Amino acid sequence: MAFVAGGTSGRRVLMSDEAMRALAEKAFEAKRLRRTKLARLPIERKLEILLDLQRTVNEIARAVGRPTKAEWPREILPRPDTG
Amino acid sequence: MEAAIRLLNEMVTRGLLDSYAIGGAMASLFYAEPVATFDLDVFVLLPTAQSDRTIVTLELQIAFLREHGAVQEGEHVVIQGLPVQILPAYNALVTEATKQAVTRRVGQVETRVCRQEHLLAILVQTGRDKDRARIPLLLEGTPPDRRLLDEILERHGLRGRWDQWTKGPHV
Repeated sequence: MAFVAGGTSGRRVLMSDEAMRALAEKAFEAKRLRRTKLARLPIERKLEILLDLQRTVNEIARAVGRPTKAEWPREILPRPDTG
Repeated sequence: MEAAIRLLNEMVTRGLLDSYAIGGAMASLFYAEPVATFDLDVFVLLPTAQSDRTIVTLELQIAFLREHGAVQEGEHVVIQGLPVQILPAYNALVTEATKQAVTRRVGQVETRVCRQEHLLAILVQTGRDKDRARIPLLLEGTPPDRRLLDEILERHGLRGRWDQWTKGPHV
């Protein structure tokens, strides 16, 4: 048996190990599906996400006093393929 | 991005490069979920006359890029805000990866990108912790051609480390 936090309610819920495992597996599967979905995005969209990630990485670096790296300008994003 | 790709393509057209291929984390972007990176790694095959010299330099290529507005900053050439690291293919695996790269479209231009199977093998060969961490991500996005991957790993003596690295539930 294990206690887990009861979501946003703040209550605690008693769960069996088996239920915990099932919950974890469900969460991992959801993550895997999300990663697969992200992998299938067009490269143009992935580049937009990459720029957001660069900003996030630098925000974290600043917060912990680490050096930041130059973020790419939005202008590097490709124009839509019209051909 | 397109500006950098156009210049790389132009260097091939003008004979300044035999070929090139995007590698590293940017190449992974074509196969897997986006991960943060701050530069564009490009493997290049130099024309034979240049690559046969005892000391290989990228003088001609850098001069061309500068003529077209690029700025050299440390190990990078910055093309319209995009830091590009140009790496002459430094061993047999990277040379093979560059030669066998696939064509991909980015916006309105076509470029060459290392195959996923070569990217995986290069990660194993490079062998740092961060390379190891990228393998599950690269495997999960798009399934690689396992036969091709096996052939590459065998050919470059990477089978042992691959098996060691990919054992376990995370891969």
